[in-house]
Amino acid sequence: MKDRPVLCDDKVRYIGDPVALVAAETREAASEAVRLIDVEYEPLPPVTDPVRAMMPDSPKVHEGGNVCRQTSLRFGDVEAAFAAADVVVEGTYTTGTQIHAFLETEAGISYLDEQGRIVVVAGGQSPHRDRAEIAHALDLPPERIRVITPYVGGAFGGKDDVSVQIHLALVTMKTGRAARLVLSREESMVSGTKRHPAVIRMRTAASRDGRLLANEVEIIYDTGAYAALGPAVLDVAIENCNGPYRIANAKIDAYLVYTNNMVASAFRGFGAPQVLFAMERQVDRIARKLGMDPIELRMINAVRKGDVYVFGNRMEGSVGIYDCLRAAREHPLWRERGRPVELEYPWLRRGIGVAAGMKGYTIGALPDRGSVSLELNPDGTVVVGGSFTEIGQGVVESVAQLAAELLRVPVERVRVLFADTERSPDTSVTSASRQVFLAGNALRRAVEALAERVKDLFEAETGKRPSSVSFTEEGAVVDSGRPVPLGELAERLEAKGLGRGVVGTYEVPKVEPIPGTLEIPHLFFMFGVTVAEVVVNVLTGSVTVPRVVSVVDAGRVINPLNFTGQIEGAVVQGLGFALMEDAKIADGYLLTRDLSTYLIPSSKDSPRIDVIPVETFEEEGPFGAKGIGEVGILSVAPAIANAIADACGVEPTSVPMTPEKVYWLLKEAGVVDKLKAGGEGHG
Amino acid sequence: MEVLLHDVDVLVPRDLDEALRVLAERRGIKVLAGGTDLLVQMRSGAVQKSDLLDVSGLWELKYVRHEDETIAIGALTTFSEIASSEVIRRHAPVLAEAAETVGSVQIMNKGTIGGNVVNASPAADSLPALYVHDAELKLASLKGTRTVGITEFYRGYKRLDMRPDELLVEVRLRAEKGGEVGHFFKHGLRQGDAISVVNGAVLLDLEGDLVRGAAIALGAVAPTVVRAHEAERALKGRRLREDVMWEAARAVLRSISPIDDVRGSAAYRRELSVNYVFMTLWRIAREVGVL
Repeated sequence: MKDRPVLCDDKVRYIGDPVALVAAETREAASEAVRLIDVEYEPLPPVTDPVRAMMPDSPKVHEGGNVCRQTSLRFGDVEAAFAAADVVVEGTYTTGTQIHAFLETEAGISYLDEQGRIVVVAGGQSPHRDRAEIAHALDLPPERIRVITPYVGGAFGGKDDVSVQIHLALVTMKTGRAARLVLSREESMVSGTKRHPAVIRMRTAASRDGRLLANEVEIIYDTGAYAALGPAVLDVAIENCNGPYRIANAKIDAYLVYTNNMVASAFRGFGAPQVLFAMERQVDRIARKLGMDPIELRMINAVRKGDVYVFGNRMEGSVGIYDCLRAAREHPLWRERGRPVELEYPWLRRGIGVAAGMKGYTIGALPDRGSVSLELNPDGTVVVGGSFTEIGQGVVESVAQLAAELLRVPVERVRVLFADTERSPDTSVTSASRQVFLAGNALRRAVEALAERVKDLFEAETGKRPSSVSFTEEGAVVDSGRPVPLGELAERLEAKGLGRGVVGTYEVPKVEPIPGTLEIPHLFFMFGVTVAEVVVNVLTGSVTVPRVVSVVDAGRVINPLNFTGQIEGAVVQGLGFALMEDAKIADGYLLTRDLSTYLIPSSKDSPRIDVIPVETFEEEGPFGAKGIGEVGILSVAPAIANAIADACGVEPTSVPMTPEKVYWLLKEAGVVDKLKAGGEGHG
Repeated sequence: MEVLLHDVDVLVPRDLDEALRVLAERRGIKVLAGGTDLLVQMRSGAVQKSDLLDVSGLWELKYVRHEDETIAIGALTTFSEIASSEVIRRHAPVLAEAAETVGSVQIMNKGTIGGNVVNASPAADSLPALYVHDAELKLASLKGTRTVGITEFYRGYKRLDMRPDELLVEVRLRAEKGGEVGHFFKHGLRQGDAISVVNGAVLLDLEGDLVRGAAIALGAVAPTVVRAHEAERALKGRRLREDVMWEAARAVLRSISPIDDVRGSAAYRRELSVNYVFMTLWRIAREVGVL
């Protein structure tokens, strides 16, 4: 949805909206010029609460009204299911504005190359799409623009939208000169996209034997001043709000709302962590009401491969949630949770919590395709090209590994050319935990194309088309002939003028979106379970997390080190979301503009993390692999909340669970006063 | 918007005398020690940009000395040096504990005790320890040297008994006596380095479970660090039991006047002040084996 100006003209909708662009020879001159700009603002009443923004008398952020997107979905017979239920649990849950806080802020350079094209080198997640955005905004043909995305110092979805790219290109277009734009930390915090703050109301019905019967859900996501990727984020919220369970009846009303808050868009989990916080709290409360083990209850309801899910979609990909739950149940942290543990002080309480998560990877029912190029060199090396971006997740290494595996060459012989619109074909966006899947599959197609090219070669040389080509450590084996080393193959292809390069294109299988949605359902899902141990200080509200177990349906793990690193990082980011990342906003102004007021977990806050892959086999994935980039974060916050409930008997409903919020919750529940009265736990 | 500091003059004195001469002659110049507060504040515009006198190279102001009953700490001693000083760990362990939690290793390596004192943040982590140790501050200028008690030094929020031509050169503490035992406490919003929402120090003089003397100081709950005299009185002459601890802890409310800010509400700070003083008293009681 293109509702966001590159530079505002007569209306500014949030504090990060750009109104002018200054280019100067030095930072000091630029700073002085900015000081001299006079903008006359006529203050409008701020719209800051998404619930109030939906009321008809609210001031409007955009002409068309504050409800950016609304959809209502009904499946099964919700009323009848509630009427037949033995247990009904109801709650309102809120989650906060999480900031990506990547190490490298939005940054880039631009210049004119020798052919007069504008080259933009900037942090991003999709060079081809960024190029299209620049071309559209500046009304230039895409061929006049080249976008290169070098190694990016973290993105987490925060570079899925354009940031500095158009501004850089604009300066170079206007001046013909090179430009550089690096946002300061404060500028990044204020102007960058965020995770959608959410208000979620949920009513969930279950039977006495623990079957989840129906879910009634209202989802309100605050997208801030502009839609950005909000409409798609809302779809992901809808798709995952029932958790990885067989629930036949659901009523879902979802709203994406404009406010004058900061723009919300993609952030690892893409709308799923908020609804899963709500749902997994609900499921835990149901288990407690029924006196059931929370993992058992989840296992009873866990969706299996081949099941029809709530939207009428059949789960055809690998579905490992049941196995994940079983692995979590067997883990010592869970098995021994009833064993008394000596705590250092009488005001500490220990608890163990569990939560499950799911999210589709790839972009669901939207058209999704990607291409990868493959070229053989006479020296025996192989060059793989694709526009996937390296945002710290290790995709370049994984793609090199896949190519090495497919062609049976040592990985050192594979060179990867990535994320350059001039040199790498469009492998689409690096988001939604999909590049190993997408690029890996495109690479498989490229290797198939290479086999065909080899057949062309032999046909050209001998007049007879061979019937089979396979790749071995010694080289390509054509029919049953001697293996031909890849370098020799490259020379012979060159000699026959056939070209040494091929392109493989993979189109992600998809189904038609269900009415009222954009991209539901996905065909491929990630699943995971988090078990968290917490220690709560009743006298301060501080929650520490000594240990987390993250069980992940990983498909087949391509690179164990990258896999573990991804999951550990996601757990820690989830812990930040759960406990401390608290963007304080007043009248649309961000009060926490730096990393001393907006706190993210430090090494001292990071728990011991056991990452346990449950290796299912994804038939559609390369070598059985599936996406894993986001799965680790999905169920961290509800697992921690459920652990707090286990420790203290209170029910957290609001993320982040900061010490102050937890303290008041404990105080209201009488836990603090009970301790002060000296009632328990004294040694 | 970020204030650029490219046009700031930085003067580097050869020795203390030259530093004092510059301070006497160049009005409006600010003293740069570790810079961990000052540069952040100048960059954000919270402190008016000015020329800087960089004293960080004055090695003669980096020391820890044990002089009879007193610990003398050169103003430019860093928190890393304080935290690892044998003298401080033995004779003022409350200060060593505070120094260890001031911030990240990088901040501890740069930040100095003199800077922490003069920056006068009510949340400064070293100050409660200095209050319970009855610290005195030695201020030097071309006119001579004078010594001010820490409670008299702070006259209000960031208002100091200090002339522009003066330089803080030494912090002097009373060494812990036999029978004294204490702790620093700090509430941050995460486990790693964080600015204190509430901090404080408790130093008790005990004979068995009998409290002969008590010093309690709290930070971030008033315009300056405060001594909780009511709480101290509630302890003196009493036996260290849980009911007495709670009574004393609740008495701190009469000494504090916290405000709401981005890190926490006033109401939460009041609760924390009471609870932390209790927790600290309880820890001390357990450590000395009277609980």
